[in-house]
Amino acid sequence: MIKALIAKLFSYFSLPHILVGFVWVVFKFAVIAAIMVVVVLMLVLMERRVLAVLTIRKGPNRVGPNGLLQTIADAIKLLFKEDIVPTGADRVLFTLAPVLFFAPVLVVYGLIPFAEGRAGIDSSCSLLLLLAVSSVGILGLVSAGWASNNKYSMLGSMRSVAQGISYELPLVIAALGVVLLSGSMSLNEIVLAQKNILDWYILPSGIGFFIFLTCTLAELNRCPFDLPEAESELVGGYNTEYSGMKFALFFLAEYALLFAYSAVIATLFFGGYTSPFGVYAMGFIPYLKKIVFVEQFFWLMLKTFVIVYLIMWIRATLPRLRADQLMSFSWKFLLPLSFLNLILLALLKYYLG
Amino acid sequence: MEFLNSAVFLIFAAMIIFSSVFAVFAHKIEYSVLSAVVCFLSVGALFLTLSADFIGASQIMIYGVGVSILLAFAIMFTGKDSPKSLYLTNPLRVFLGFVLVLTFLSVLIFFISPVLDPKSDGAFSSYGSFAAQIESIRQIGTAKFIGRRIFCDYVLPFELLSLLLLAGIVGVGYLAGGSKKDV
Amino acid sequence: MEFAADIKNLMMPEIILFVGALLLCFIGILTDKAYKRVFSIVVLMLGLSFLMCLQLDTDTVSMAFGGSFLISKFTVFFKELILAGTISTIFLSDKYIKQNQKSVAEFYMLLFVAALGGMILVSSRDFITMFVALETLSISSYILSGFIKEKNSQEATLKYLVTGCVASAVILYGVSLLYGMSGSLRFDVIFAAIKSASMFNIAALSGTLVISGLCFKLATIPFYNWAPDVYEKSPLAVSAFLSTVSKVAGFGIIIRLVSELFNGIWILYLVLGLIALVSMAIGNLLGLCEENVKRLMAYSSIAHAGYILAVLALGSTLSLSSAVFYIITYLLMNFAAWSCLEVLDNGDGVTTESLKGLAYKRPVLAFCMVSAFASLAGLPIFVGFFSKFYLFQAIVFAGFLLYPFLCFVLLNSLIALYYYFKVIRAMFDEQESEQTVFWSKRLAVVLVFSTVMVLLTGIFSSPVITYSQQIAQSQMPAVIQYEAIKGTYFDNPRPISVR
Repeated sequence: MIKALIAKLFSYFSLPHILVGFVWVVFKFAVIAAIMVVVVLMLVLMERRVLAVLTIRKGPNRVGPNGLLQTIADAIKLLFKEDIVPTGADRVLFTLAPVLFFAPVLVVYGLIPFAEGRAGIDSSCSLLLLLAVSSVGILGLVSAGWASNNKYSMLGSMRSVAQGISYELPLVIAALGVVLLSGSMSLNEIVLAQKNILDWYILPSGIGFFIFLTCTLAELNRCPFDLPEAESELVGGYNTEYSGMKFALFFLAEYALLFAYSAVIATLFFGGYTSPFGVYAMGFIPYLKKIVFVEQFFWLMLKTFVIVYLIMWIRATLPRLRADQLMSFSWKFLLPLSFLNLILLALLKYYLG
Repeated sequence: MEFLNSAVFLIFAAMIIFSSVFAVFAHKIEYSVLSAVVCFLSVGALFLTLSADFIGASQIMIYGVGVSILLAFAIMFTGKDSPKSLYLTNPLRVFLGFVLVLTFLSVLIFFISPVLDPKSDGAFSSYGSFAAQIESIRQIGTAKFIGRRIFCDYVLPFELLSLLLLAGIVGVGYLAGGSKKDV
Repeated sequence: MEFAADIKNLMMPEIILFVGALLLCFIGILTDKAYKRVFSIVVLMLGLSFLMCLQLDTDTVSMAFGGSFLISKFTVFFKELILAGTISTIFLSDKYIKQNQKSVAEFYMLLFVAALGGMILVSSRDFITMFVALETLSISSYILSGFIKEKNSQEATLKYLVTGCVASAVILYGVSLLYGMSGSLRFDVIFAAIKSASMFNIAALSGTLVISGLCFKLATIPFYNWAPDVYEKSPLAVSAFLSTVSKVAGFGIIIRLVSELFNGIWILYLVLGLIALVSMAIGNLLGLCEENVKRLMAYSSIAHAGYILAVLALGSTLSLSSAVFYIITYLLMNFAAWSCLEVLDNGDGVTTESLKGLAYKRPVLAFCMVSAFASLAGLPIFVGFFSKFYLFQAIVFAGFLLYPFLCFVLLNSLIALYYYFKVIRAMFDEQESEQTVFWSKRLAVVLVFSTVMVLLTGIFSSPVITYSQQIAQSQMPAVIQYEAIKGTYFDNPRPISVR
């Protein structure tokens, strides 16, 4: 629909038609980026309010009605802050690092199907691609830590790399269980295979969900796995030296990834954009039938925000792990467990069809 | 979309060449590593533009993430005293390298060009027309096709690979693990 | 089920090695000290595998795994050579094992994996199997060569590893060209494509790349420079393994590639000849001023690989049979020489200096050493003479155009005489130096066996020659084809028009 509109506009202004595809791609990603920014603004506020509720505080409630504009004020403050590059830092890498961390997140958003057939990138291997691209961001952390020329940054980035490598394996293998059940690596098809609450993959693959959630926390550097930016040990981890817009990019990317991973969990284990009842309310109303994707989007958001809430709850509840506990937990517990999960699912699939 | 695809393909191909050249000529080893990573990722992107999604994703996952993080780790542990540039200080070596590259390039062009000639009978004719080629490439890229090939045609190398990896693990364990005498 | 039965019948030697490697891995995890029992298990496994090779029906060519694994007389023969070499290596490694009693099971396991890689390499029939088998052989060799945890040894291993990676890249480049042009990785399909289409040039280029990459295994030009360092600094048994088994596997696949896949690509024979000439010259010239006998063995093995490649470059049945005979004798001579060195090695290597006066103090050992080195030099009554003789004969029969080639090879074997005799002369020096020797039953078994074989086959060489002729004949259908093409090449030295 919008693509046709763009094509019409192009012919109206007699622009080369060849560029339509290009503009269409740019448009899609502009929409995705818009979703991302809005989501992050909401998430930051949500996190502060949720943590406040859970720790029996009030949280931000001064800026705007009931504190709703707090994050916007923060964002504006960050925008106008001075951009400092430390003297001993490697200028090129220091500037490149936030971009390296941020860019893959956008691709991850492009791969998530927000409604039936409505993903930015249509791929038959979107799950694998998503897992691959989302971990490219670690490189940004590495270069941030190295380029800052600061030992706390360095230690933080080293921790994040070690953590990233260790938790990547169980994460992928847990996701592989879902691929095994659905027989497809396309997120869209995985969603379509779990059309109501009884088909949700959390039921056969509960262990897989647990592993995936745990590894997600580690990949996101969130509590109880937030060693890379442990304030009490490392000042601020890899982003110690960053300020202003660059810091904002790290911040933005982290929250965006939090949302993206939650959406992936919702997609893999909770039926994604489908309604839990198997039918869409909008499907019954004649005029709204065409825009049933709005309802699908709503379901995905609902599920995602529940999972985001869960993750914030975990942050408020659990204390931070020690570095060696972190490693042995991954290699000695999660990895064997994920293999066990895979074998169980294979047996399940083989014997029960 | 055809035009867009080939434009993106060309951009990434150019990126591969530039980043790999930069990886060789960079003054700092960190830049070399980073541009090597760019090269790996661009190769993955090339596969994606050719609609070989599975291979592209694997390339990004294995090289773009796994290998490059190992490289970065190694750099971080060696610290900043790493030697600046090892080979490119000697102009004779640079010159000989260029001569070698040009020779190989001309040999390659000389040998390959007759086959690339569209009028030639052989080589690409086994793939059929252009459309058929595109179709066959699409099929080759899918996970199903690759899985079939690995578990039917190439099951022997696959099994051998498992032993190879086991030997690699054992060997690395032996080489990395200090003996009690050393400690 | 037919598939499984097929594999069970044809792949028993490999399966035994596979199981053995896994078993050794478990033993390595469970215990660290049972090296005596491990030894008997290892020898039993290898012996069983060897017997299984012998009972394979090789009169007809058969295949497993949908044609990617070939069982023919030729491949089975090479497997037997590899297994025999591995058994000898295991006997030879006795000293190393006794001196460092740790990680014994791992050492044996890696040897098993390397042998398995070599065996599958020799009988592979598509490029993926070939490459994976090659890497299996290479990677386990890298680790084995770094088994001594010492700075110099690690440096040599790193050199070996880097050279090996470059060689693998070169091979893959060649393979990718072939795959891009023919759309297949199977040898027979590519062969058909080369015949039918205008792929002569591309086949020549990629054949050159693949074969020069495989030359890494043979330690010849262009990938030879790892050999002296690695031979010097690895455990001696590993050096013996690298200079024999690994090379045999490399020769096996090169012969098969040249005769089955790149059959009729005359440029490739030129390339082979060039590689052969340059490597024998380099090996012999660098060997001239070398005092360390282990490094000398490396240069000698470079030169010997050059001789074998030189005779392969002729591409006739006679030359193939002489190459096979040369490979057998090379294995025997090398094991004789390496086992003598292992007896003499006191930890800092064997030099010509440290050999002085050996003939008077330990005449038996000196006799073994003399027979091994004289055989390597190619003196009469030892087997080395006959293999050289047979080699020259093959070159002479290839036509008078090749007489300069013959002169070059002759000149090279004359140069080689110098450094072999440097070692022999040192043993008869009046001045005596301190020698500590190490004897054990297992070491003595290899030493005595290989020396006796060197002498025996030197005197009664005809059965071995007949046998190697049979082996060469079994690669015959291919050989006939390239004899015909060789004719056209020498009559009319222009590219054969394939298009």
